[in-house]
Amino acid sequence: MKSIRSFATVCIAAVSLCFATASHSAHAVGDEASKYIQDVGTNALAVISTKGGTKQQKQTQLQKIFADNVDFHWVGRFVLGRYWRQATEEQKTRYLTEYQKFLLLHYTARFTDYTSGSFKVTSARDDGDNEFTVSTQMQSTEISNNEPVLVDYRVRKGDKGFRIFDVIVEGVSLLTTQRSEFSSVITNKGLDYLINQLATKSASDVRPSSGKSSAKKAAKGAAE
Amino acid sequence: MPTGTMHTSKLFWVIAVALGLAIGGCTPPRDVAKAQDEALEVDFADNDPLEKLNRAMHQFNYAIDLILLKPVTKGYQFAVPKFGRQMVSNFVDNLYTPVVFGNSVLQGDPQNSFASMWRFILNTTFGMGGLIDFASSAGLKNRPADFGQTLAIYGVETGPYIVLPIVGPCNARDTLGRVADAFMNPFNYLGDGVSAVTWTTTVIDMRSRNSKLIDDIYSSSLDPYATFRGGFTQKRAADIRRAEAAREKALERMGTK
Repeated sequence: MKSIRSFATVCIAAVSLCFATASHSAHAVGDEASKYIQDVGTNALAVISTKGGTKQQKQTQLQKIFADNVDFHWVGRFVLGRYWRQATEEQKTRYLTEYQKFLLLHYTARFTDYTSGSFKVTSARDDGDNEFTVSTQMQSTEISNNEPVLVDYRVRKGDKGFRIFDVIVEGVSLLTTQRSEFSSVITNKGLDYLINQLATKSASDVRPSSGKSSAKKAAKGAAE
Repeated sequence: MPTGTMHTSKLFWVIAVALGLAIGGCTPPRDVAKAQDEALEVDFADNDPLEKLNRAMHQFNYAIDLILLKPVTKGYQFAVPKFGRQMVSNFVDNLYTPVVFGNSVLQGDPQNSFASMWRFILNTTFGMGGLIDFASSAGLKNRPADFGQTLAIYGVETGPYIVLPIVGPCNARDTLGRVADAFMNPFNYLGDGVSAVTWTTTVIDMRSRNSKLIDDIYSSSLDPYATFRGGFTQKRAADIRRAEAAREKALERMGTK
């Protein structure tokens, strides 16, 4: 009887120790993920709120931050859905190149419309498999009502440290939305059409580099 | 570059899987294929049996936006300074506060019922007919509630995706919700003239509030129809989740649950 009891005690102690260490390490990596997003965000914000310098310069700097921190390869494959497996090697290579270019141009252009702002990490969640969701609140005087915008970053820890693989703005996932957008295009027009469209969009989406004052005005008008 | 990263990421997965198996009992890391299979379950096209009709309506809305809504909104943003537009937004929000109140009551959310009632009273009086969101600074934040939400909380399914004229993305449940909200709003009983003015103001205000997003989707999406559909569906689901969570929390705090 006594031995059973002590055995049970040992078991409970072992199990609780397991849980304690597990939750502790999860917490630590969760903190790491938060710190990572905090750092990336601070860097991006520093570029955005720099006084002076053209939009073009800001955009180039932002592109570098994006390129270093977004897992383009994974994201690109994911948003192609089942069509990735059906694509030829040549299509895959061309697609990934054009996709990265498109995403970089597109999202950095969006960010250069802001000139100020602040953000704070509110929480981090361990999703398992080295994936984390870091929740943040973004605030900018350029957002209507100056209400905080809830942005979740999904990050994964890999061999090269953390990389972002999804951005969820107010419950809308970039990954999911783009995936259904691409799927719709491919179903209707085919993969080659999609790749060509990505290339065309990147070529035409060179926003306010020339004709600065009028472009700036337009951007300011659309700022809300 | 793609081949390089592919190689290393592949290697990484192999090591990670081996490590996972070694530790034992752990689930192997999610690779792209598996994540894709999981995500295949959510294809917004599956909930769009009326796609042909919806796309036609989307085209119509796009044309209206191009020739009417967008130019009017740009003019409005040019002519009215930001604080003025904020007042219009506040005014529009205040007009819908009775609807928020009604739905909060229907949803059994005492906190938001109370908050929206006082928001309406304070903003209509001290806030000069709703132009100033006086209540927000007093700690009574705007938390929208509509009949589509109420139906969701009652357990009514979303129903198929529907594109409505002018106002755009919707679904069967929210279409019903919009109609019910219109009936619920006392301002809709003040005569056709008043309704026309408030409706026009609402449409321009909404277009202006979301102008960056809408312009961005039209200019950069490869299929704006699909982007609007995916975005709307996710946003609505998130709003409902949030409303439910807020309601649960409020009830918990009151000790009734």
